[in-house]
Amino acid sequence: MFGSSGNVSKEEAARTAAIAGAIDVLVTLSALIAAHSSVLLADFLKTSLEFVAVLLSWLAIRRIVGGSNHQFDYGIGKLENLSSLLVGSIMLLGMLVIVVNAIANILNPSHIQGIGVWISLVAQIVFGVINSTLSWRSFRTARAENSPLLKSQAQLFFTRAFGNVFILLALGFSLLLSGFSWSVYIDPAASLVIAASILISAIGVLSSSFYDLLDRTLEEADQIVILRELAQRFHDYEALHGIRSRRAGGQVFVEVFLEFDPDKTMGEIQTVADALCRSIEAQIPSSRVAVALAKEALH
Amino acid sequence: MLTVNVAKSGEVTEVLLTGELDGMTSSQLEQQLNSLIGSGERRFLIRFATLALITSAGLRVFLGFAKKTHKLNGKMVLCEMSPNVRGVFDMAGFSNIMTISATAAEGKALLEPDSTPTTT
Repeated sequence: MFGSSGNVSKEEAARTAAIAGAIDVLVTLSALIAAHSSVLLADFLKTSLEFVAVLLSWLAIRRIVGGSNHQFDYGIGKLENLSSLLVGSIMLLGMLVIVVNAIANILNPSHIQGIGVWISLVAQIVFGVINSTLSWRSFRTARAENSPLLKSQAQLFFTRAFGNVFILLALGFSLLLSGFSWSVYIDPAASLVIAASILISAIGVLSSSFYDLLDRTLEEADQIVILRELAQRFHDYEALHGIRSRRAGGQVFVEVFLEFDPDKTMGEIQTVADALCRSIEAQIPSSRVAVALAKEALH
Repeated sequence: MLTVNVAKSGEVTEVLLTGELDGMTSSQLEQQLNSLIGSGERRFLIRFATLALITSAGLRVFLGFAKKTHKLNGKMVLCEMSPNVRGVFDMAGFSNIMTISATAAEGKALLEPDSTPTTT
């Protein structure tokens, strides 16, 4: 499992994201220093927080890829969930900073100015293209590997690309419409829209990771699949003593506790159990099903 | 919230379910059904007329109970299901392994000693 090509590709994706994030932070910092713009301050803070999130994800994956085998028999799902939780929390923090900054600039408005505005205009175009590309790559890999970590990264890059476009438009309109007194509110207003998009993404990342960390059972549709398979094999077992299920990262674990006729041979029981496991695993993506022999109900 | 009313009618034990049968209430029903089996009851008419909702946790109770009655040569008939509840049973494939009747009267007739339900 560990040191596999899947984890290596995850590490490469995370490393690329960390390098791109570091460059983005330097550019937004230089733009901020050379300009008097509230939206650029928000952009710098947001970019820095996102960079920290990506960096932490990369370090977490490196630790797993470099680690020895057989230390995580159930995979790195929990670590992915934890990383996603951290990424979501940092996104929330970034959102709060942007909101506070926007309110401050609505109360004390001023026109944007400085060479940093032009640096930022160019940077938004360049990073908009880079972030869109990274988002699409992460999304494709996340879908192929069913990885919540890469899914959260794809959402993060999409949010950043969205932010690039928005900041580009905000700066452009602020410059073009600077003759109107109300144009001073374009910057903070655009920041609030970006904050809202970050909030939506953060809630999505946090909710899925949080419940998976708490070993939430499978959704109803998947539970019905398990029950349907047990119903189809109603006469193959003596009693159903319980079903346990949980998610860990992209993996799904299901345990079915069955009692069999004591007159059945181990071979016959094995055949029934194998057929049940195969059938459920074929219908629930990324699932591992185990049948346990039981004599009493689970508590 | 689930209310379970049990009434005896000849050899048939009627169980009327009211409310919602989900992860929070399924263990309550399971305990009551096990208690009835433990006290020697073998013929059960489960009435769903006032059951508003059933989830997979509730279905699991009936699958387990169907196995128990089958093992003890008992009989279980489910009746008075709303279209929604019936849809859930159909989706889970339970309609093929459990006897389901439209009305309580039909269900009682199926539980008569000389009748033979299709399953369980």
